[in-house]
Amino acid sequence: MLKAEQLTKRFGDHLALDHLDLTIESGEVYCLLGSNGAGKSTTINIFLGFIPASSGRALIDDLEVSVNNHATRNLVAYIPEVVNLYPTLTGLENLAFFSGLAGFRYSRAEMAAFTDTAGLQPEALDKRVSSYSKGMRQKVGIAIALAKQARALFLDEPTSGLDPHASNEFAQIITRLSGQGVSTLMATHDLLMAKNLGHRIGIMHQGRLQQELRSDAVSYAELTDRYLSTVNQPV
Amino acid sequence: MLRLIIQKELREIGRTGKMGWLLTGVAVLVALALYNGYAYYTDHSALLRESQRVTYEQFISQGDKNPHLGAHFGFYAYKPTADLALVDNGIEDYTGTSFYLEPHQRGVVKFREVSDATALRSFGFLNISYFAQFILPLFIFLLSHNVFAKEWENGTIKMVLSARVMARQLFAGKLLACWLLVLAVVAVLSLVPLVLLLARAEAGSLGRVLPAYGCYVLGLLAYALLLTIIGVATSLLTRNSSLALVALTGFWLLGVFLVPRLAGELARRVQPAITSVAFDDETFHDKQYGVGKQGTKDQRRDALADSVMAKYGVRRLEDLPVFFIPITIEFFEESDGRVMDRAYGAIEHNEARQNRLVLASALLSPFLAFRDFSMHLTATDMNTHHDFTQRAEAHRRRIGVIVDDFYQKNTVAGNDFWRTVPQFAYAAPGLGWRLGNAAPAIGILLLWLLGALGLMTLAYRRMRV
Repeated sequence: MLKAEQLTKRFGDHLALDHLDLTIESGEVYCLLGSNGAGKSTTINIFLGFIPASSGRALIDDLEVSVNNHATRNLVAYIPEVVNLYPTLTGLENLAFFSGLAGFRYSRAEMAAFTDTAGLQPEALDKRVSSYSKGMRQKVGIAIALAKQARALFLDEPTSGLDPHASNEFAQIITRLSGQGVSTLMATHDLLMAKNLGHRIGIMHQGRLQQELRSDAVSYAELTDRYLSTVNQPV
Repeated sequence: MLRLIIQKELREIGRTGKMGWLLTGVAVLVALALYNGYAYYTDHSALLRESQRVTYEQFISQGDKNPHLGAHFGFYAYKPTADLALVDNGIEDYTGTSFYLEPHQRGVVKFREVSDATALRSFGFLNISYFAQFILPLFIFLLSHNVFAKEWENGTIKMVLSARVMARQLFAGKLLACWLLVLAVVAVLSLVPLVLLLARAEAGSLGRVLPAYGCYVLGLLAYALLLTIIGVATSLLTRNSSLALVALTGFWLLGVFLVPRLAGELARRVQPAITSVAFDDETFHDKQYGVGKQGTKDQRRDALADSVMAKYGVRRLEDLPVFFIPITIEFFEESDGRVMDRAYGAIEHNEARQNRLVLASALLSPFLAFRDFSMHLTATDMNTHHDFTQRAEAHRRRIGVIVDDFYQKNTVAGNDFWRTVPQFAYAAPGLGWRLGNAAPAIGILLLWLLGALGLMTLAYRRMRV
């Protein structure tokens, strides 16, 4: 379970995140929508412990991130817009390294099973990542998340630049992980993906969570209207 | 965790094409440095040993002669090539190796290797020490400059720090990976000379050589470690491989080229060397009147004659039971010796002050500190050179006393007498003396090591996405 309590972040005079209250249950997929600078990535970065909150608390399975950063890292996996991997290592070597950092050691067969689940072609496993497409890197990122046995998944624009087929594969995997009880917080600009994949959708603007919707209670057209009316609010 | 990070780093380094070229270049230079050092050591040590033997053989087989004239035939005292000259030949090319042993004249060390060398010698002599002082730092910086920066440039740092690895584990893993490669180069630099030393060392000399060499290797390890820490910490602090490379190579250029030259220039200006004209003028005057202004040479000779005649209870020099001329020679040898000791002492004092100024600049350049440490430990430094000249001068005076004592009672000396004149032999002092001379440089290297550890702590505390 993920929880934000009055989570606030200031960068100098700029209020990047303004008293965010949010709870994401186990197995729930929560999509954060918003224009650039709305506070989506800042929220994720605080949960990952990359930046400290100015005030408020971020909790992962009831552990406060700022106090138990080392412990909470064991619980999370992170897939950014571009999954950055070591280009001179193979996909399998990257997977072994990142799962090793998380404290897991797997056999080749076990790692191949993760990449297979993530949809990566077996023949790509031993190729250097420098030859991978963005979609293939994304799949390695998913395999890493699977290998880390994460309880919480943070996705920052994960489908940006992926072709529809790859996006669809990605959505299926997230749904499967959700079924296994993984809490997911996804920042995205893709309204259709948010509608189809998320259980709940939050629309952020200028650091504040302006609206919260259940995806099954809103149509795509209505979501689009609400999104546009929120992000077009005057400063 | 550490093993995982080290393995990953080594794998990445191994797969980087430019690193392959770099390691090949380093291997070639190491091989050249080893060959050059060994060739220098074997050629010079054999040549000097043979020269020492030949000139002495000629001296003791010169036949029947007036003892004083025979003494003027003289022979050379050669400074043997330092045991560790295959590692570092220090200032030996510039100070010369031979000291002529003859009456009246304190020898001047001659045969400076550099005087016969081409202009190419101004680039330095590639041996192990040169490699360690100038090329090894560059290798370390090229190896380590992007070890952290690439994580930011590739964007992998977020993936890494979202795992449960701790900052200090990550730093230690990357540092150890670089250190293992540096250690491999240092191991080759250290072990091959050790094998050569063991193979070539004369009986009994290993006891003197090995402890000094062991300390040299320890110093080399500390020096390489501090440079590796500086390289890795700079990579982390800059988070940009180009910036890190510019910073590290700038530090290298300053430390290797600029600081030593500025320090040398400053030392020359602050503590100017005594010119040869002033030296000759002063010693000529002092030889005429003695160190304590005891009067002209004629006055002192008359006073000596009076005291010798009084000692033997005679009124005329012709009545002395011994020849007076050798007594005069011995008297003025002692008097002139005091003059020259004082004059050379002043030069050495001046050089020591210049050296202290230059060594102080090592606070800005660890390369200078290691150079000083290396020369002291290998006994190719100015202290050893002075020790050699003092012992050679003492030997020259000892020969003077032997010849003059003989001359007081004999006007002709044959080979039987010449063979009683002892051969000169020199061995540089042992480890304690060398470490004593190197103590300031060791202190500065330790300060640099502490500074590098401080930089490391600062860097890993700032490890943020």
